[in-house]
This record gives sequence, C-alpha cells and structure tokens, in this order.
Amino acid sequence: MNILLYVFRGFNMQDYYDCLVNMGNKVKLVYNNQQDIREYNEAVYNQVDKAIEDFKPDFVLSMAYFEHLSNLCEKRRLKYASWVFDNPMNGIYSSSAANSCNYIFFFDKSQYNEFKGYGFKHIYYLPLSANVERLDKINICDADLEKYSCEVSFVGRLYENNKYNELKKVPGYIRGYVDALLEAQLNFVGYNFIGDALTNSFVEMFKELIGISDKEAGYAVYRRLIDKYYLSTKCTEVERKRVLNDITAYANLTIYSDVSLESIPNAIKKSAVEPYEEMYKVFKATKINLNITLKSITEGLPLRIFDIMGAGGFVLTNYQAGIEEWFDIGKELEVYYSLEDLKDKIGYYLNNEAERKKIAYNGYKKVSQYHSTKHKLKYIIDEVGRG
Amino acid sequence: MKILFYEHKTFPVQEYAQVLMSLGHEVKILEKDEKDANLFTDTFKTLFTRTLQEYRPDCVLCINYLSVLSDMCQNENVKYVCWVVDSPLLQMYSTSIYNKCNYLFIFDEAQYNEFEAKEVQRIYYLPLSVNTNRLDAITLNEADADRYASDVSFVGRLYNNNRYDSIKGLPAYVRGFVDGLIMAQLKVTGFNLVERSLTPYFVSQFERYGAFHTADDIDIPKEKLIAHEFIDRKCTQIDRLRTLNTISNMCDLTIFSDDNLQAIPKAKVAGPVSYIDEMPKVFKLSKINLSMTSKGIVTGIPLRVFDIVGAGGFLLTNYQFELEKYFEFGKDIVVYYNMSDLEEKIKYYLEHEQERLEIAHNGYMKVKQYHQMSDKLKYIMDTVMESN
Repeated sequence: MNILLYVFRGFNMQDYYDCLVNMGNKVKLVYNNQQDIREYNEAVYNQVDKAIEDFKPDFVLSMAYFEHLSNLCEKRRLKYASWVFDNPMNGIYSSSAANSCNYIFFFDKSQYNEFKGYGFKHIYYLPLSANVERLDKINICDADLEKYSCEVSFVGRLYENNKYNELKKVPGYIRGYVDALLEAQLNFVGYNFIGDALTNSFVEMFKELIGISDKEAGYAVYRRLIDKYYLSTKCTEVERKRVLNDITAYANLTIYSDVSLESIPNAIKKSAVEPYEEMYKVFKATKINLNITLKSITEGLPLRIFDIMGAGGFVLTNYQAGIEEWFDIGKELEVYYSLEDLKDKIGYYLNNEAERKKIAYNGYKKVSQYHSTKHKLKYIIDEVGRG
Repeated sequence: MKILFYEHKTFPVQEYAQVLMSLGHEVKILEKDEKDANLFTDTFKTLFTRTLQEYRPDCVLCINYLSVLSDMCQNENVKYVCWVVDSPLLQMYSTSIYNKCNYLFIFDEAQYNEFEAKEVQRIYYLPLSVNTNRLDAITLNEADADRYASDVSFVGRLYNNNRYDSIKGLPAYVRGFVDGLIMAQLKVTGFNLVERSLTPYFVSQFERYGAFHTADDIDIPKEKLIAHEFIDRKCTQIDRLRTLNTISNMCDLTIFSDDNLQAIPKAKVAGPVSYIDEMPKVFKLSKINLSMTSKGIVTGIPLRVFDIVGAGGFLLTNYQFELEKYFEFGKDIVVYYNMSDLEEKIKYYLEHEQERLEIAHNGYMKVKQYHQMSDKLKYIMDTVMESN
C-alpha cells in the first residue's frame, strides 16, 4: 500500500513509520511543524495536496484527527484514516467529522459509542499500542540501573497549566460548585460524572465566564466542553497531586517532570526523560510504574499503559472503565480503586518481587501478542482496504 | 418481662406493644404529650422517673434513641432498650450513648459499624420489620379502590421544610458548593459522598451562616452535622422532586402527603394517609409503590420498604446496599439505579401485571418469614434478658 503519513509537531511518529515500512508499505511523510497544528495553514496543505498528486497514496493516515486534512481528502476523494489517542480530541466536533472519506479509530470506547451513535459509517474502536520489537532492543546496563532504579515512579505532567486555572475572576458560586464536584469525583476511580452533574444554570454562568454567548448548541454540547476542557483537567491536577503526595507518605516516589514540584515536597524529583529511549529505561528499572489516567478519558486506556507494559515494566494504574476487557487484572497489570487500596497494593508489591515480575512478564506477553503497533496498524490498513 | 414503652406521636407504638403482649410480656405505654420530640420538660421528666419508681419495669423500650431517657434510666438503674429506626440521630452522639443501661438495636449496618468503632457496648444490628398478621386482616372494598388505586403511588414527605433552605444570606461559594455536591450525589447510587466531600474551607464558611447549635453534651464532628442535618435533607428534597416529576411525566402518579406539591404539577395530589388503617390500602391497590430512601440512611433498609412489601404491594425502590442481603432483585422487589432505569422499569412493570403480582407475592412471603415484627421483638427481648 501507498500511505501518506501526516506528522505533526509534538508527537513522535517514528515507531508508526517504521512499522508501516517493515510491513512492506510505501510511506511518504508530510510535516506540519506549525506552532498551532490545528490552525489552517495554506503552505502545509498545499504540500499535502502536492504529495497526494505525486505519490498517489491509497489513503492518508494520521495519529489524532485533523479537520482540514479530512476536508482535503474529501475533496480529493481519498480515504483518510485517523487514530484518535486522546479525549477530548480537538477538531472532531467540526462538521468535517461527517465526511465520507473518514475512517476514525477511537481509543476511548465512549468516543466510539458517541460517534457510532451519530450514524457515521466508518467508526472503529481501537485501543493503543506499543512498538514492542523496538522496545525489546532497549537494553539497560548497570549504569542505567543505578540511574533509574526506584520503588515507585511517575512519568507525567501535573496539569497545573489547565484552562480552569487560567480563568480570571471566577465567581464564588462557580468556585464552590467546582470545588464540591471535584471533591465528590475524587471518591471514585473509573467512573466520571463531572459532565453529567452540571445544571443548566451552572452552564449559563460558565458560558458567561468564558465569553460564549452563542445559543446555537444545546446544553449537552456545553456540558461536554466545560467538562472536558476545564473541569476534567482541573480534576486531573487535583487528583495527581493528592495521589502522589499520599504515596510519598509511605514509599519512595520518583517523579520525572519538567515543572516545579513544590506541591509534592517529599517526592524525589528528576528532570523529564527523553521519550524515545530513556523513558523506557525508567519503566524497565522501576519496581512499580504508576499510571494516573486523565479524567477526561472516559473509557479508554492511555498510551502510557502500553508504553510501560510493552517495555516489560510493572504497571499499577487507576481502575479505568473497561480495562478488564483487554487485561487480566492482578495477572497482567494491577489496578487501584481508592487511595487506601493504592497504599495496600504498593506495600504488597514492593514486598513481593517474584509476583511483580511475573505480572510484568504476563503483561508484556499480552501486549506483544495483541497490542503491538504492527498488529494495530495492520488492522487499520485492513479495515480501510475493506470498504 | 415488664416493659415501659415510651411513645411520642411521631412514631406510634401501639402495634409493637400488642405484639409484645402476645409474646407474653407486660407492657405499659407512657406517652410524651409534647410537640417537639427532642424537648423534655421537667414535668415529663418527673412523670417518667416516678413511673419508673412506681411501675418498676424490667426495661424501658423506645423507638429511636433519646439521650434524656437514657440518663434517667441510668439513674434509676433500669435497662434502656432502643430500636433505632432512623438515621442519622443526633442524640446518638451524646456521651450518654456509653451509659451501661443502654441496649441499642440499630437498623442500619453502616450506623452500627460507626458506633461499634466508637466502642459503644451492647449494640446489635437489626433491620426493621412489619406485622403481617395485621396487614393480612385489612380488607378492601370498592370505595377503597376509588380512593387509593393508582398506577404509581408515593407515600411520604418531600422535605420542603429542610434546615438548609431556612438559612438566610449564604454566600455564593457555599451555595455553589452545596449545589455541586448535591448534583454529584444524585449521579451516584448506594453511596453517600456528602460528608466525606466537605472541605475544611467549606466548613469554615458554612459555619458562619448556618448557625447550628446542638445540646452541650452532643459531640459530633462538624462535617457529619452539616452533612446530616443540612445537605442530606436538601439532597433528599431535590432527589424526590426530580424523581416524582420524571414519573408524573410518563404515567399517573399519586402522592399521599401533607406537603405542598406545587412543584410537581402533573402528580395527582391526595392528602396524607394514616399509617395503620389507610397506608396499607394504598400499597395493596397501587400497581407500583415507590420508595425513595432518605439520603441520611447510608446502607439500611427504610421502614417504608417493609410497609409496602409486607402489605403485599409491588415495590420499586432506589438501590440501597442492604437490600441485596435480604431480597432478590427482580424476584422479590424491583430496584432502580438511575432515572432512565426508573423510567424503563415503570414502563415495563405497568405493562406486565402477572410479573408484578408474582414479585409482590414473593416479596411478601420473604418478609412474612424473615422480617416479622414478633420475631424481631422476641430477638430484642431475648437478647436483653440473656445479658443478665
């Protein structure tokens, strides 16, 4: 197959490119290196258009969904496959989503169900992957072990730069409402109700705060917008700080991050790791790799879980709705359901090395067998080729 | 045993007394004829102590817990036996809860666990009951059918006069917090998140406006007090309003209540019904009887569930943790988990009479066998006697 692969700033496509080529496809890359990858840029799309004409691809593929790319493909009567790896996915709520050229593969089942419900034809549910073949070749030497070994590690952001924190002059009523909602939400792992718990009058007040006066869309649309872009990210911040601080009270926690970690004073701070190789060394050398899923991901497994498991690391993650559909809990990875449960499980697994290693190994086997990038890309190619 | 049975009009005990007598006990009812259930005048205290001295009962029996009575029993060295049928009870946070005279039978397991953790002695977990013999004897005539029959009925209060609504001048932050918390709570079934979600900042703000005074000997954490006395009740009000409005939009709903029902314009409004004579007729004649547990009850089964099922009525209730221990869902009773589930189940069961009747019958048989008032009262009295 001839595949035009769309590459954008901030997401490393090397693994996807390598897999496609190794499978015998001809792949041409086009780049969008703009600061704002979402904005329409004539130079970028002229380049895409020219590549379509010269290379004559069977279809265009991108990680994430790009509305302008979809519109271009629609015009050119060319299939456009996108693998959505984030929730919310910018651009997906544009009118372009209805384009007949689209083949959209969602990692989050709730997004899949939503778009399936709109009656679009080529909508798929496809959990993410790891390029296991490459990760196998990343070896850790004694010096790496020395450098990266730790009890519990967390690689990720604290989400302090979220849109809710950026709001100025938030009225008291909204502050109270949001504080209560977050406190309530944080009692639950794997069940998010923030978006459903916003009253119409709250939505009206919030719209005024963020300067939306448009009355076109229904409350459901604004609920989702306020939830996904403002409140869920704020909730992620509060949750991560709470979980990480809690862990530092009973275990050695290393956080790899570029931002200041003043809010988690007892963590061992290390600067962010290079994500192509070094990150996987951390996963291999850490006893317990922690994953805390973004609150806006409703029923999907984040890339981080596959990163860790594909590297052969032991994952301890928040329970995420539907995780048992793909992984055997307690056999291939471990989940926590509450802060107390997290404490019990960290204590248990720090003391049971053999079991930890067995779970990590089983998890690695599962990912290499069913969730390798190669397998998933083959699925996409087959589905796009089918119809 | 010789039992002095305390009564206040908020909970008539005549029937309990009769069942106790049929079990061979001697019972004297002492009624407190004052409006406020929690206020005890010196006149009544004197009367109570004098009755203890003259009647010399083996125990005082009481529905729910009253700190003043416990202290007086302690002074006179008489056993004080309570069957706690409501939750929360502020009075249970009195230091008197540790009195040696106390025997507490608690209907809600979460409440039981809470007080067990506080090392309160002589406490027992005991779900509520009904007297099916009395309910069996109630006969229906045509006039009853006209008066009490309906598709869906609800007998109960709307919590219109809750303490939260009576607070004046609450700042926007506090109102927002309470509204947000209530909306969150309404998304969750079988788990009360109110108390555990109150932050120190919210409590400090709330305190300045919701002047809550408790008796000096009541020692209750502020979060618990605010949750139980204010927010849970407000939440119950909103839950009931919302649920009843949803139902009234889809079928005939009759509400038996003396509350103002203007906020549920489509419901058929019938006045309040008497517990002993009329209420069972409603339950027997409604196609679907609705029970919505008050939010303060954490895991326990409210009395209304037993009232309905014991009368042979078909019960549709919110999910409540302890229901699973005693009833088979879909066989003995029907449970709803959220609004859309409630709508689906009402629609289904209004159309399936045979199934409804079978479920009502199964539920009735279960209550008759395992939740009989005489059995539970016998258990209470045996436990108290054996503790000697």
